[in-house]
Amino acid sequence: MSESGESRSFLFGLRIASVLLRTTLILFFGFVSSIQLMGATATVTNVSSTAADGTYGIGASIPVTVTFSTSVVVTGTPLLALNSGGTASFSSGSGTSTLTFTYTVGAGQNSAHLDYTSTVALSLNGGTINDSTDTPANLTLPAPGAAGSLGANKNIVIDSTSPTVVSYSVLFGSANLGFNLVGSTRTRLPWQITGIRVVFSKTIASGDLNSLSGVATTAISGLGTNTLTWAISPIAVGSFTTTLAGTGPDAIRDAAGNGLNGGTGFTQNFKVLEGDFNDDGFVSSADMVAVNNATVAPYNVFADVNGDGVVNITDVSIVRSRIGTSQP
Amino acid sequence: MGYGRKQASWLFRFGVYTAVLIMGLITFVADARADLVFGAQSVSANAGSTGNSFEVFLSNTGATAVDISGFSFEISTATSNINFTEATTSTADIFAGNSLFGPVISTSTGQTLDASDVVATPNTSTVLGSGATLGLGEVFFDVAPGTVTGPYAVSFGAFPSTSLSDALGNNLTFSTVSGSINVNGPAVPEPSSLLLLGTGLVGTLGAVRRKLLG
Repeated sequence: MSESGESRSFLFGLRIASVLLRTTLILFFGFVSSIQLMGATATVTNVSSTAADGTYGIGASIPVTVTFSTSVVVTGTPLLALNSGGTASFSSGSGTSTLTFTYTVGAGQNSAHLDYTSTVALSLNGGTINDSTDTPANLTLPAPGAAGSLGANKNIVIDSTSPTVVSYSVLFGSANLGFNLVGSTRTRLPWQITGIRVVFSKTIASGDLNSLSGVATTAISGLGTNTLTWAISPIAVGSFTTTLAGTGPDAIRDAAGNGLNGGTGFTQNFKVLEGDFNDDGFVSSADMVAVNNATVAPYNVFADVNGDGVVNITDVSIVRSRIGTSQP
Repeated sequence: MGYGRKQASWLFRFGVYTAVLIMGLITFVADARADLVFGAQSVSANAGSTGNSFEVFLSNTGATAVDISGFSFEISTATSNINFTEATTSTADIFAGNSLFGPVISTSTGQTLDASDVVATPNTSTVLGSGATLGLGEVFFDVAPGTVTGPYAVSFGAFPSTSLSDALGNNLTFSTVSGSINVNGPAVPEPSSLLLLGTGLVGTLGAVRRKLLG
C-alpha cells in the first residue's frame, strides 16, 4: 500500500470513529435527556384533606387533596376510591399541583379511619391528568396508611348509620313507670301521661325540646346517651300524633350528624283515656269493677292507674272519678 | 219542710211499684232490648225546702237473673232551682253489706249528680233476679225558695255516665226511666196549727192585759 493510500485509509477510519463517537454521544445525551424527562413526570406526593379530624355522617362533604410533584392539567372527572365504599370526584385544582376531590358521604358508607382503597385508587374515569408537557401523570398513590396517604395525614371517621328508635315509652305515675308503645296492640292508655322516653340504637348528640312534637313538652334530658326523655304537660284524655324530628334545626342526630332514621324521623300515635282499663274508649262502672278485681290478682299495669307500682283501692277510686269520660 | 226516713221509705216503695208498672207497660208495648232498667222515684217537695230525697233503683224486667258488681248513674234536672246535694246507699241497697264506697256514693253534686258504687269484695256480685228491683241510691236535694210549682223531670245521663257492670267487668246494656220532682208552693200552716197559734196568742195577750191592770 502507498503512503497516500495509507493516509486516506487513516483519515477514513478517523472519520468513521468520529461519526461513531458523535453518534454515541448523541445517543448518550439523548438517553440522559430521556431519563431526565422521565424524572419530571408528575407523581403523587401527598394525599390529605382540609376537613377537620372527626366523624362525618350522611350528606357530609369532605374535600380530599391530591398533591403532585408538578402542576397537572385535568380533563374529565377523575375519581378516588375510598375505603368507606364511597368515591371522591375531582372538583378543582386543574393547572396546579394540588387537585381537590370532593367526597359526599352516602348511605351505607362507613370507615373507622378514612383512606383510599389502594395505591391505584386514583382513576381517570375517561379523563386525563397530564403534566405541562402533556405527559400523563403517574397516578400511583402512597400506600394506604403509609406516609403521605390520607389515612396517615388525617383521622376522619365515616359513620352513615342513622340512629333508629328502639323503644318509645309513655311515662306515668309516681313511680315514673314506662310503657313501650313499639309493638304494642294497646289502643288507649289508662294512665295520666307525664312524659315520653325514647331509646335509640346509638348515642344521640343533638336534639331539643322541640325534637318531639305533637305534645306539650316542658323539658328534655339524656343528650349524650342513647335515651332521651321529654317531660310533658300531663295528659288525661286525648288522641295524639307525635313526631321525632329527623331533619331541620330540631333534628335528633348522632355525633356524625346523621338524622333520626335516615332523616325521615319517627311517628308514634297514641290515645289516652285515664281510667279506661278495658280499652273500649269509655270509662264506666265496668272499668271500676275490673280494676277492683285486679286488686286481688297478679299485678296488672293497666289497672295501676296512678302508676305507683301497686293496684289498690286508690286506683279503683281514680277510675270511679273518671266515670263518664270517653275517647272513642 | 223535708221528708223523714219513714216517709222516704214509703215513697220509695210507692215509687218502685209505680215504676215496675210503668216498665211492665213499656215491655208490653215495645220490644225493649235491655232488661235492666234504671228508674228514679217521683216525689213531691215544697219550694224553699231542704233535705228532700228520692230513690234511684234498678229493675230486672227480663226472664233471667243478672249479676251486678258495679254501677254508676248520673241524674240531672233542667232547673237550677233544684240542687242535688248528696247520694247515699239506698234503703234497700243493691250492695247492702258489700258496698265499697257507701254510705256516701255521690261523686258530684249540683244540678247534675253523679254516683257510683262497686262491691267491696272483688269478684263478688249481687244477683238481681227476674222481676226484682233493688235500690242503687238515695238522692237528697234542695228546692230553692220561689221555685215555680210544677213537675220537674229527673233524667238519667247516657252511657258511660250511667252504666252497669257484671262481676267480670263487662258492661251491661240497660234503659232508663226518668222520674220527676213535683214542686209545691210554700208550706201553708194547717188549721190545727193555726188554732194552736191563735190560742197561744190570745193567752199571751190576756196575760199581758192582766199584768198591766193588776
